[in-house]
Amino acid sequence: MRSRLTHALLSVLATVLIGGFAAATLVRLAPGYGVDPGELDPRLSSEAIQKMRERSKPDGGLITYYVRYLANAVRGELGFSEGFRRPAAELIAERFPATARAAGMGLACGWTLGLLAALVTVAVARPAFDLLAGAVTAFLLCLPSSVMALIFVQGGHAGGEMVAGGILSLVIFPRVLRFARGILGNIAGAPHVLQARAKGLSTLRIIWMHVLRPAMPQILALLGVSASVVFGAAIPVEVICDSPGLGQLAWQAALKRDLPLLIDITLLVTILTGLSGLAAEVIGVQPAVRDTA
Amino acid sequence: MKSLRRTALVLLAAIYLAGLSAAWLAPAGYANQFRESAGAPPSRAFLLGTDDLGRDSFSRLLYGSRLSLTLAPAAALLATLIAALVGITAGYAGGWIEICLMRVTDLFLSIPWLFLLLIVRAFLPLNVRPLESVAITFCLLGLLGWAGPARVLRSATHELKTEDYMVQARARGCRPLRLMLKHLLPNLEPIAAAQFWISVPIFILSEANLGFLGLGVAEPLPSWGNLLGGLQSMDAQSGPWRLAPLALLIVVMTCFHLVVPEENLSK
Repeated sequence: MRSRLTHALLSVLATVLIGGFAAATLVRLAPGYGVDPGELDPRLSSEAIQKMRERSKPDGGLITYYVRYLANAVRGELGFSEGFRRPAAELIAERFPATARAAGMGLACGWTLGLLAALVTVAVARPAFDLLAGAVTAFLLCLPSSVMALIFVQGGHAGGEMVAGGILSLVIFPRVLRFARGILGNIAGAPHVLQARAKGLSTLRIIWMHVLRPAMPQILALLGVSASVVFGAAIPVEVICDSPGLGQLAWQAALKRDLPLLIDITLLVTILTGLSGLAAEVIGVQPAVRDTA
Repeated sequence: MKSLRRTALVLLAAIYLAGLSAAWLAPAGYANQFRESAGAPPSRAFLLGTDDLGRDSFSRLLYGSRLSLTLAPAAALLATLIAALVGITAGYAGGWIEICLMRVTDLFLSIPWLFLLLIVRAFLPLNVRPLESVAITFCLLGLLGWAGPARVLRSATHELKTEDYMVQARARGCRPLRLMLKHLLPNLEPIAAAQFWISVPIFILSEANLGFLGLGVAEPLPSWGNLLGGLQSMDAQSGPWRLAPLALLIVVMTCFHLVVPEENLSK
């Protein structure tokens, strides 16, 4: 188990390092990098413009830039946002709590509802119930997260992070339900479950002991993916619900072409996604190890 | 279930054909303005009414469907081709090539999809002509959406590589290129086709989200993204006919879910 965890942790680290390098390359190659927009001021003399150019001229190559970026990031300095005229770390620290609360609520509610619905469909095992679950899943999967948010906002909800969290849970719910329903359905048809039924065990005990527990490691594998989905969906949802989180900040940064800030946010989200995958690995692996021990 | 799938396929084909024949079916051009009838309800002249700028909503929906339903599959095809190239090479070559290719794939997969699109979109100029915005949007989808399918194709290649007939072909001196073209690719074709069908609805939804955020196809060209974005200006007085793009999107996406078997969707 330890080697699997080390491998997963190294994977997250490698992804962040490679991703950071790709991001640094993008920032350096972006049109307008190292150019001060103040140069467009017609009142400036050519000498003043020359001085500005020398001041904002990038020093060193791509590797130097990347190494300096990493060193600064370790110290908590994520650069300066030209679009917002504020330090990027300050902006991210200000916006992160709103996204963390909305994403946390979305993940918790989406997972709880999805798992419960999947368990009920497996426990009831009626074709009509199965069809209903399939139809609800298909309908919710058909809607872009932006449209879901718009429906909520047009429906008279004021917006804000609680509504954003609710919408994010609706984004996660069908994915968990479909995935969990498939896995739980397969296990529910296995010979050991039939035998447990034949021995007269209660439905609740069968579902808990013989269906849910062996399925948990497989189901939890979706945790990392669902974190990625939630953070992705947070962009349109926070924009439409006017929730001042990282998603809204990323959108504003994209519209201002503030690439360094956008990349800082993306790297943070990538780390969080990687860590949730790691958490899934820890929670999912432990029961199996305990069972084989 | 089979008849439901067939119905979905027929419906999808009908919507696709209607979109392709937009130039003949649409009563007006997508950018034609009827300023005296701005925001008009449905009538004989305007089947789905007009938008706030006085443009025929039905015509715009047809032209938007043509764009979204033609270019999303094109982007999905591009993504599947890149995925096939990366996945099959990684699975077949193994060793360092596989490790490097899969590390890049992991990188693409670990970054949330919309963040990745936003970064690359922000890297490119934002103020572009409508046709350029179409090319940028759908090329981005195609170039960035290959990672998931690549992983599936690499696993399938791994499995096929150790099949008895492959081992036998290799033992009889079959060259790698022939092995790949004659034995590997034909067996991977159904998996690649499933990945293609899975990617199309994902790309349609991504384009819709990008359009909503104002980073997709630029006006006056209609696409499902910017038509859905128009819903933001709806108020209590707006009629239900303005929801037509959303209804069409739901119908098309449901059809896709029915056409692609659930076991493929869960991959």
